[in-house]
Amino acid sequence: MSDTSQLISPSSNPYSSEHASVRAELSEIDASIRTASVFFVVSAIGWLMIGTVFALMAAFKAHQPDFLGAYDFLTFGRVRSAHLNAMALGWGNNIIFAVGLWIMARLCRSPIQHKGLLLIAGVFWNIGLTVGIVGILRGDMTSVEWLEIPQYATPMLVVAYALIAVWGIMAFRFRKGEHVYVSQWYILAGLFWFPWLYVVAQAVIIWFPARGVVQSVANWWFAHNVLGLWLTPMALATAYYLIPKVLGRPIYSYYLSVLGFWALAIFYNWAGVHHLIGGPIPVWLISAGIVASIMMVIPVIVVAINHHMTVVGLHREVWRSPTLRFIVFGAISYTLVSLIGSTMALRSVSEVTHFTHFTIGHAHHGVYAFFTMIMFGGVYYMMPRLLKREWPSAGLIKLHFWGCALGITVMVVALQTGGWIQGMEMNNPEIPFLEVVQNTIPWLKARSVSGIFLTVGHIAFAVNFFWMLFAAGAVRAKKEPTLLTKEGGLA
Amino acid sequence: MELYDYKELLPILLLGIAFFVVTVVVLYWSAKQGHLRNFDAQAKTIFTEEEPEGEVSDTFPESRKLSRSRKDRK
Amino acid sequence: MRNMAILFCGIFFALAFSFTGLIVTGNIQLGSLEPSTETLVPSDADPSVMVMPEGETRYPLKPSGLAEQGKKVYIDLGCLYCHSQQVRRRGFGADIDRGWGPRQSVARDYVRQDRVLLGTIRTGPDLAHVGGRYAGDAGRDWNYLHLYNPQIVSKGSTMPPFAFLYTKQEIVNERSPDALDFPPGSEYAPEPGYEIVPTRRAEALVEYLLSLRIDYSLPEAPIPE
Repeated sequence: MSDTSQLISPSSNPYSSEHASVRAELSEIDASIRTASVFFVVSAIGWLMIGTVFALMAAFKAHQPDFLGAYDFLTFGRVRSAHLNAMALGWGNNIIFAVGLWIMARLCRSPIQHKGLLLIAGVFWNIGLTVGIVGILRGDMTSVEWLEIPQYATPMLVVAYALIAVWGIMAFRFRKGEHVYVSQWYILAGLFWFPWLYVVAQAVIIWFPARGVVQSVANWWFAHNVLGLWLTPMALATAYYLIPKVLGRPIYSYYLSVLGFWALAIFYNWAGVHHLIGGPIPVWLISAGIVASIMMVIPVIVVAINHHMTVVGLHREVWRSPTLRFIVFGAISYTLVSLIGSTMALRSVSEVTHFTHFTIGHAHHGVYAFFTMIMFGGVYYMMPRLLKREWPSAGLIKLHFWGCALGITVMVVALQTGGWIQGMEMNNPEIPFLEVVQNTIPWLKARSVSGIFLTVGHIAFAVNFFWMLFAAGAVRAKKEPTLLTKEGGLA
Repeated sequence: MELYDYKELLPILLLGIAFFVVTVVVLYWSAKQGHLRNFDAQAKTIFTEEEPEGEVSDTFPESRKLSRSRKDRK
Repeated sequence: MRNMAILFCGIFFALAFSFTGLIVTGNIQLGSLEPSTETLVPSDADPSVMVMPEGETRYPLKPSGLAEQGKKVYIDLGCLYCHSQQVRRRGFGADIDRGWGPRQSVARDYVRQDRVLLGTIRTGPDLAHVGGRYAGDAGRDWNYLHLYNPQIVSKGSTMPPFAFLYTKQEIVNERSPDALDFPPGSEYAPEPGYEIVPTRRAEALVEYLLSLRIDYSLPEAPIPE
């Protein structure tokens, strides 16, 4: 494949002498975006820890209902919603801003402008989210899934986000060089899709509510697309950039990348109504969603082939790279969770799994095993290059990996096994409902145990990160590089 | 009882047809403009002189020592 | 794929497609649904057209003010995150067999709701018809006890207690008529001389729950004999 470099015209070959200026650029770009990206990673990790606390509370309440039961601001419905929003908007969005914008900046080949704008937007994002989550606990939540943030906080979020998205689009608009890499399409698309989804959903459900179940259709068009048109593209962008980057080998087939991107763009956003199978919605609408959910197999298999063929023969290098341990775990999870998801959309399967813990397991499979693990990998690659320092402890990285890999595996298996049983029993009217509930409890306890594993992993991550950020003297004093392969760090 | 009139699906059907036509036109246009030739070359744009193709750019330290000693033995 | 304008058009169209298909078309089909009488009759002018008979009640009914307030309590406590409010049709799941409703829910059942709370999880049972299962004063009393602490009437339940929706007060002269009647010897009953009284929030919430009833037919969804 490398022979084609001779066939490329000099102006488009990145290695030709006209592009010697590229030499300084990567470190220059990294330096220019350092403050903004570090700010977003710090925010993301902060929200990750807050979200983890809420998660543990909610998990314990599920099988121990009187746990912290005396306090209205900690009642299960509110704590669970605080957890979701802290993780989705606090961890998820901040880490996307950190890693996604860094990848965009690098691929646009130009040191960033207006970093102050990013910082201001980030501060307002965090303020808006804090106000929103405190609002949820105080009792102002909307009870609209994935849109629980009260009305008084959402405009600030929209404005903060708009600033960031405009920045991303401008960075792309003023890019240098002819080439546009697949990650840039995904990031650009995500930056554009998310605000449209959010604004429409807010308008149709909360600010100017549509009549009846039209709200529900809009709700699940929105919520599923947060996963499919925001979290997924950003995670795929990261995987598409870092798998080849770490291995030093270009992605297997660029044609497949294009096919995968457009197939995702067309099919994913129709799938959301599969959350309403069996509900009071016109059948044709649900069927359209089911068809789209099945069609998603196409882009998912395409991505799987692409990643697999890029990695084939280099499995040892994948295992030995902290970044790729996380990212390849995430990429494999993407294939698995998507195939399970397509199956769940079939009516006969939905009849059992709908309304059960199976769905919760599936949601965490996607948001954690796929999106979050890939983002962890992104942080491990990005931070040494931004700070020009090594990660202080390889041991903590391994603890992080094992805590999270084991934790999420136990969680998904427990919730989906327990959820399947719950669904089968719920469909058997001979079994009293309370008995169905009792039978889920061992699985919910297993979920709590898995939560402890995840917490250990998160603590290892946070400790390692802040050690790297603040104890500069101790880290720079190390003679031997721990992770960067070039002696003494970057050239 | 027939609640819904399927003529109400007209907006989406028209949009779908328009979408399909536009896609075909765009693909034809990009092929004609030469965007689709040498496509795989774009996969190399992530590599630079600082982080070139062919070099692994991220490993745990002990595993590097392991692979180094293996290479020495060869 | 280098041209930003074309990329943008494609990205825009991809989402516009589902937005139009699902939301706009959904709104065209469902956005003007109105409450309806339970059956339709042939119109006088043209017997092939079915119309609503004059003077008959149109369903769903408008809920009482207290029930509307109770819905706000339901929303702020997040009851949706364990309970659904949609009955699936007979043969698809066991909703009707479990007594969760005499018929399936249809779109028209939700037209009067300013916030639709279909829900997607059944940690607890579906509530679309809970007011039909627990009706009248007996139903009201059951709900008051259940909300105070579910273990009183549903031992082994994983629903959390909502004691903060009640006040404990000393009995002065006579018991309050609103005071909760605990089963004799219940470990959740207050000590002698004290009673548990629902706050306004609890009253509203229970009124809301009792208003959730699918006790009417619709032309597209008659209650079977």
